[in-house]
Formats: sequence, C-alpha cells, structure tokens
Amino acid sequence: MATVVGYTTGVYDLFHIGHLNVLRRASSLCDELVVGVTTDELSISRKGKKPLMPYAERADIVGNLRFVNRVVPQTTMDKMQMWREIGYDRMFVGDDWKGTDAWNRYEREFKLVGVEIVYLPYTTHTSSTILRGKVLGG
Amino acid sequence: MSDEFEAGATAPAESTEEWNRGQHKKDWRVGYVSGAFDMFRVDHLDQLRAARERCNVLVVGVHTDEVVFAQTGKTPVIPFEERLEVVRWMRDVDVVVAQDTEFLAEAWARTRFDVAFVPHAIDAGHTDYQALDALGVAIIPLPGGRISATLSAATR
Repeated sequence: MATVVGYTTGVYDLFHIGHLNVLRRASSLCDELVVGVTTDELSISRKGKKPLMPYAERADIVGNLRFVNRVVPQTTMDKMQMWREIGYDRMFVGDDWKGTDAWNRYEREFKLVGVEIVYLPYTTHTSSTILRGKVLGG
Repeated sequence: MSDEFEAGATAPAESTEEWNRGQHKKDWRVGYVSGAFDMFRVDHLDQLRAARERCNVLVVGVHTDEVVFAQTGKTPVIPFEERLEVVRWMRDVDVVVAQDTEFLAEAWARTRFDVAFVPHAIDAGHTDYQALDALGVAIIPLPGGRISATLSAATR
C-alpha cells in the first residue's frame, strides 16, 4: 500500500501538551507526518503579532518530536498551494474549524484532488494565548 | 570515570561547536540531565541534544512541581505531568523519570547514571557534586544553547 502522507499546520509558539496531543493523534492516522510551521511573517500579517519564539526555534522543537517526519515553513494560509508543494493525502485540522465556510469550501476542493480532511478534537484547556499572557504578564 | 574527575577542573564549553569538537563521542553509557522544562524552549532542546551526543542512553529527570517550588519558590506554569510528556517525545530523549528530589546524588540512587550533564559551570564546593563524585559519577557542564531574545526578555 502506498504511503499516506499527512499534513497539519500551526504556529506552535510556547509548545505545550495540546500541540503534542494533536500531533500525536495526527501521526497515528498517517504513515508520514509533515508539519507546516507558520513563519513569523505570516503570523504577523495574520494575527498582527510576532510569536515569542522565532520560526527557527519553533520548527526545531516540532521537528525533534519522534512522530514528526518533516517540518516545512507555512508561508501562506492557502492550503491548496501548500498541497501543490507537498502533495499530502490527508490533512488534519482542529475540530473548531468544522462547518466553517472556509473549511466547507476546502472540503469540496480537496475532494477533487483526493485529499481527505480530518478534524481532530483539542483535548486540553492549555493554549498558547493563555501561556503568552502568563509570560508577558510576568 | 571518577579518577579522571577533578571537581572544578572542567570548564563549560563556550559554544555547541566547541562541545562537538571536544573529547570523544559517546563517552558514557547512561547520561542524566535534570530540569523543570517549564514551557519547553529551544535552549532546553540544545541541552538535551548536546547531552545525547555524549552518551548511549539519555535519561531525563523532570523535576516534580514540589521540587520546582522548593528551588524557585514558584509553582511552574505547566504542571508536572504535561512537562514530562513533552520531554518524553523528544527524539534525543531515551527515558524520562520523575525527579522528586533536589539532589542529583539522590536521583542517582534510583537511576544509576554514569554521567550527569549540568547546565552551568561546576562549583567544586557543591556538596551534591561532591557526593556524585564519590559515587564515581562524572559531572559535565553543558554549553548554554540558544535562547530567543523575545522570550528571554519576557521571562526574566
């Protein structure tokens, strides 16, 4: 059987157990897991804030996880463009996106190229936003 | 190993490059690194990686919340179980254990490591290090590792 390449993305600033659980779950649902780590530039343009940890550090930590096969820079929010570059078979997204207009559209588009979108639940209350507040708030 | 160790004699490597040039690879069988690893950062990763370069099996003792509190007077931001879980899945880490003591010599009683990699220059007068030396355990300071400027400024 052909290798199933999985793909998921994130900023992974202040890496925590929530990130770990989602990545582990994703890796169990594919043969090879590629993780798109959002670049500093994309994070600034999208969220208006720079991550506390620069891309190189965030990518290094994610890439050192046993179940992550490869890290690539996520330079665009356009998942179809990333697909053209990577050629993954399955994409993992947080289930908070399920049913949104953007992801309903992605589901239709990706179906045409044979990519399945899998929504994964977040299993923790820890979030980077909360941690960022704690770090910056002292 | 203990015969070669002189407390206070080993200077910490200035950089990762210097570390990688120095001595022989895989000098020891079981190596030990301990720490809180509260909000896992790239300098933690650098330390684990440098330690793994020098031993065949790297055991990491993650400080329990009680030990972190005893050492710093603060409760860690991330609870023990979550800190341990993140460290456990790092490629450079072979085994994780809970370290429920501040003292490496007490941790050794359980883990029996050949070398302790410590994240700072050796203090020859440190009683914990003297106890380890008496047990025949090598003590090697790790190079500092990278730390992001933003995070460093925010957490100090």
